Amino acid sequence: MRRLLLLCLAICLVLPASAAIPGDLDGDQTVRSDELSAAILTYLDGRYQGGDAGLTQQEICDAAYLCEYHDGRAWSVTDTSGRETVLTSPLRRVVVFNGETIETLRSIGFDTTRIVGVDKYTSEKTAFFPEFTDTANVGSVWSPDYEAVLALRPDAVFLYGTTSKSSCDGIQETLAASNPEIRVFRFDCYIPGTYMQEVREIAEITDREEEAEAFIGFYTSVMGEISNKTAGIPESERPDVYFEYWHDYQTVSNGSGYDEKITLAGGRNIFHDESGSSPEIDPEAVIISNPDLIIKLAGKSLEFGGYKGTEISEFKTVYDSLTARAGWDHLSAIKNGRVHLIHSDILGGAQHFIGTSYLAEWCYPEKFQDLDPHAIHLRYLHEFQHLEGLTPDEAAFTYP
Amino acid sequence: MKSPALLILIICLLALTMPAMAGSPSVERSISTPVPGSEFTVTLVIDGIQTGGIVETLPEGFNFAGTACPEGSWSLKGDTLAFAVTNMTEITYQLRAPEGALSGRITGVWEDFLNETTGTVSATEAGTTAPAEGTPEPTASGCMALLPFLALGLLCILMRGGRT
Repeated sequence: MRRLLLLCLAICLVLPASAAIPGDLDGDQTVRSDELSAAILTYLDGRYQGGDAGLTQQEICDAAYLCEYHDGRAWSVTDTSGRETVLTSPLRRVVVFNGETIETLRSIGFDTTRIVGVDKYTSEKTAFFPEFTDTANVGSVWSPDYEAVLALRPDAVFLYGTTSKSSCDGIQETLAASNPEIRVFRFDCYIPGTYMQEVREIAEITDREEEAEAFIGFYTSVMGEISNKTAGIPESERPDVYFEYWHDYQTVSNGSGYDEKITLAGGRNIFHDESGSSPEIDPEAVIISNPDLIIKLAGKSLEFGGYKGTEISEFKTVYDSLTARAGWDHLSAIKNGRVHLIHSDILGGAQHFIGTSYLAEWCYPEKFQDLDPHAIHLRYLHEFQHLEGLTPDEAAFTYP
Repeated sequence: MKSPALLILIICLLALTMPAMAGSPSVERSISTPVPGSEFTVTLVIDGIQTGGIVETLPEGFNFAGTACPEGSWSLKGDTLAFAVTNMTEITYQLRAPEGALSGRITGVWEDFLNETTGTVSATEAGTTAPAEGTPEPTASGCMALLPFLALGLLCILMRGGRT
């Protein structure tokens, strides 16, 4: 008897809980079209013909949705954290804690009026996210406003998949304890190696597969062209790249997304083997390494340019101070004029493919002379982000 | 003369393009002319609703006489007639008009369960006065269709007038 109980318990733990299917009259976990018709008539009877209430309006809508998009059955999705979620209804009230996922939802044509709460950084980016100016601000993954989240009565919350893992785990646990009905999904949406898989999974959740394939086609055409031309280049023939964050002499190493993008673009990060993903290095180490290419990141602590488009002249000021650093006049990169600034808006998040195409162009100007990163940028904004009125100056993102 | 002509041309174009512009869900009702004591047909044209429901409220004295919709997709209760809409673009049903002259209105509501919207079906007068012999049977929603042709005719007249 005890064995049987243990077996039942094990089965319950292993199998995802089978969710109730609205309108499923015979309990076969499927709502067929005849069952849907019967449920609709019962609902109409309850609402308009003085009969007993059947399913609620939302349950009828859920049943109709399942019939239309999922052959009347529940569907399941596994997110980046490896957690499987069984869905029986569309996402209607969504809170998103990371702007990269909001941007991705927009890329696949998700109805953004269903996003009822956004993180504070998205709220601040009014030029890029104009539709969320009046949307509730739910704080950040490091300082979430639980009261605000729960007051919004969300049916889904999106958090980072692997970034800020402990903070996001904490939010997920708190939400589960407060309201187990809230579906939590975990995606990063900025890492090249996992981004396309994440786009497909988000498309499955939102039933936007067709639109997602159009975006995937665009993204892979850009990244595919780059990797096709750079993948076979031997390590010894790759240009040595020094990449610097907005803080002087803070660089990137193995495990950092920027390091991954340098490699994809065909460069060799001279501090790839340093410990920590964003180590501070000795200025002498740069001079000794004598990089072929120097790239500095603008944005955040060097707040100019980008979608805000403010103080673009600062690019030149930073560029001049960079090239005037003590001992740098002997560096190959300085002598050959291969120093560039790039804004994190197009390299750090979901738009990393735009920034990566600039890196590729700077690493191999001849190989990528037909690549037009600015045209890629504009097509992304207009065709996939639906920001037809946003045509930013290239000078706000890269220099020179 | 140019301004009225331009205005009429715009009206023409708007009238011609109106049906194409109608992207949101809608249900329109038309009826054949009721004759006292006889059956007549009510047609509901459904646009943009894949899965939904329609409830018609029948006027007093008019009785439901049948529908071609399959069993299990409609129900009659008192003076209300409900339809479950699944991938249909048109529903027809028959009503029997009362003996003698009577008037009444058919009203209706619809719900679109995929777009999660609701709306009303414009009321239709269902008077039972027999039409004069030879008079074509008008439909309740057919008048709008004549608008482009009327406007075009008026435009031609105005343009001719402008040449003289």
